[in-house]
Amino acid sequence: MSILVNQKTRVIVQGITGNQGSFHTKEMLDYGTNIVAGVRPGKGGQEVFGVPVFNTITEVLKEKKADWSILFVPAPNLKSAALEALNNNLNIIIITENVPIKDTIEIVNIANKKNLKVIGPNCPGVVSNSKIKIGIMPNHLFNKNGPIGVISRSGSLTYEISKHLSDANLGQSTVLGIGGDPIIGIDFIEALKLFEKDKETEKIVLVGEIGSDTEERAAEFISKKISKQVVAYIVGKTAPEGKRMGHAGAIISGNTGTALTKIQTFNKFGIEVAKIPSQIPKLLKN
Amino acid sequence: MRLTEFEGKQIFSKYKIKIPKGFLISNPKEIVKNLDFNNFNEYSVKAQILLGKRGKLGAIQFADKSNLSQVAKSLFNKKFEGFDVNKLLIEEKISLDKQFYLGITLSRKDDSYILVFSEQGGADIEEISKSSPESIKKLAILKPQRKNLIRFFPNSKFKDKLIDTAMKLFKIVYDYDAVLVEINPLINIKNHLVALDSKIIIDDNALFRHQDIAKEKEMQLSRIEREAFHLGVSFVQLSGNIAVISNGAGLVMATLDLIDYYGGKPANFLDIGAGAGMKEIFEGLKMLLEEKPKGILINIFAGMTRCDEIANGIIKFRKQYKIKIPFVVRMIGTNEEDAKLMLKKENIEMLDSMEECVKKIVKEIH
Repeated sequence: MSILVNQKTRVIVQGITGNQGSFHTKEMLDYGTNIVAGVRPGKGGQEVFGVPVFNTITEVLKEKKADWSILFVPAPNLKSAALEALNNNLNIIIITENVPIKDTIEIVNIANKKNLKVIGPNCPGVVSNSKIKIGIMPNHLFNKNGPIGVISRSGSLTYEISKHLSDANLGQSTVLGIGGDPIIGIDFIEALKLFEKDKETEKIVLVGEIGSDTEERAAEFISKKISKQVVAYIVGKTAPEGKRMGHAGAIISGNTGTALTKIQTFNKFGIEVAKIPSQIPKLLKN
Repeated sequence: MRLTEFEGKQIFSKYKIKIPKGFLISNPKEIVKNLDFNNFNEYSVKAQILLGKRGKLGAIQFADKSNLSQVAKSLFNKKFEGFDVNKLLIEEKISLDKQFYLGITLSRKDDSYILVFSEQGGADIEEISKSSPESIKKLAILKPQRKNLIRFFPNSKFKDKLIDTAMKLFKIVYDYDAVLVEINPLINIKNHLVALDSKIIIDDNALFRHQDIAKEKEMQLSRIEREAFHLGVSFVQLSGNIAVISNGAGLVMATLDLIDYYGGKPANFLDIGAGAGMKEIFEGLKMLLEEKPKGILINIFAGMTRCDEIANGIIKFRKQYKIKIPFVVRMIGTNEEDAKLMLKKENIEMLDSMEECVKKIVKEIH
C-alpha cells in the first residue's frame, strides 16, 4: 500500500487546457495515472492527450466516477473551482501558487466539514512510486519504489531529497508535498499518522523550513505517537528573517519559527536532523 | 504587504474606530497650515516607516508648538535601519490611562483566524506574553459573532466597546484580505477606545483584489525590489558575494545553507518560482549582475519548469553580457537532456549534483 492514493485512484484535472495543466496531464498519463476527465468551463467537448474535457465537474460525474481532482486553475479563479470539486465530494490537490489565504481558509474548512482531503495549495502533489502520481514531480526521478515515506513543505527541494534517496538505493513508498503556504490542508502531523499506519513505509523523512511552529509541533507528535524512524532536514539557517507578523505572530508562535529552534526541538525529542541533503540516506541507514 | 501607521489608521477611521486627531506631512513646511485645525498642547511626531518598536528606536518624538518644526526636521533627516523617513504623522499627544492590546492574525493550527487580547498592552506586550502568558487571551475563530466575543472579553465597563472594536477588526480582515490587523495600544480617552497605533499586513497573494493599495505600495519599493516585483520573482538582498538563482523557496534556502556549510557567503535570495522560463532566468541574471557579485550559481530542479527554456535564457545572457566571473550551472528534472546538449554546444558545463556545484563555486571564487 501507499498513503492517500493507489493504482485504482481515479483523477480529474481542473484547468486541463492551460499550459501547465496540459503538460502535466501528459506527464501523469505517462506515469500511469488513471485520469478519467479534464474540466475547463467553455471548452467541454475537446480532448487533451485523449482525455475528454468537460465544462463542469457535475457533467463529468454524470458519466464517470472520480476520487481526486488536481487543480491547475489560476489563483483568482481557484476558490470557485476548488469548492466545485469539494461540493461534488472529491478530494483535491491544489498545485496553484499565490492563492489568497482567505480563500484557502474557506476551502480547508469546508473540506474538514465534509471529511474530504486537501493537499496544498502551492504544492507539488503526491506520488506513490511506480504506481501513481497526482502532481508535477519529474517522472524519471520518481521510479524507485521502497520503504521510505517523504513529507515536505517544499516543491523542488522535495525532488532533491527524493533523488538523494533513490541514488542511495532507498526507494520511496509515497512522496507528499504538503505545500508552503501559511494555511494548508494535510499537515505534517496528519501525514505522519498516515505513514505510521502504512505497512509499506518503514522510515520517514520530514523536510521542513523556517516560519511557523509546524515542525516543532510535529517533533513533539513524533516523540509521542510515531514508532518508525524519522529523519528531519530543515532549511533556512542562512535565510533572511522574514517579515515579522507583528506582535500577534510572535505571541502565537512564541519561541519557534527559526531553523535553530526547529533543529533544537527535533534534537530535544531525540529525532536526528541532517545538516545537508547527502546526510539523509546515511542517517536512515544507521 | 505592510501598511504604514497612517494608512492603517485611514482604514480604521473608515470603519469608525476612533483615532487621535492629527495630520500627515511630507515636508516640515506643511506644518504651519495644519496648525489652525490641530491646536494641541503637546504633539507626537511619528515617522511613517515600516518598522516595529519605533518608540525605542527614536522614530517617535514629542514636541510642543515652539519646537515642532525643529523636531520634524530632525526626524526627516534621520535613517532608521536603512529606511528613509518620507512622511511624518503628527498627532495630539495623549496621556496613557488604560492600554489594551487587540489583534487578529492567522492560526495555522486551527486553519482559521485568531483573536488576541491583553489588558496589559503597550510596547512590552511580547515580553509580557512570555513572563505572564495567562494575561494574554486567544480565540481561534472563523466567522465571528458577538455572542462568541461576550464570553471572550473580561467583564468591565469597556467590554461592549471591545466587542465592537473586535468585530470591526474582523470586518477589516475580511474586506482587505489582511493577515494581521493590530491595535497596540488601544487606549481609553473619556470612555472611548482610541487606536493609538495601527499595524495592518495585507496578503500579497490577494493584492489583485486591492489594486489601489497595490499601486500605492509599489511606489515604496527600491529599484531592485520593483524589478523583482514586476518579474514575479522573490528577491532578498544578503551580504555575501555569491549570487544565487534557484527555484522554489525551499531549494533556494537549501542552496544558501549549503554555500554557508562549505564556507561561502550568498549575496542574495532569488526564487524564480515554479514554471519560470527564459524571461525570468535572463532578467533575473541581469538583476544579479548589476549588484557585482564575485560568482554566480544557478541551481534549478525542474518540475513545472523546463530545463531547455532555462538553458535558452542562460545562453542568451552569456552571449549578451561577457561574463568573466565564475559561473556554475546545476540543472536537473524536466527536459534536462535537451538542456545539457544545448549548454554543451556553448561550452557551459551542467552539473547534476547540488553539493558538487556549491563546492565548485566556493572554490572558484577563492
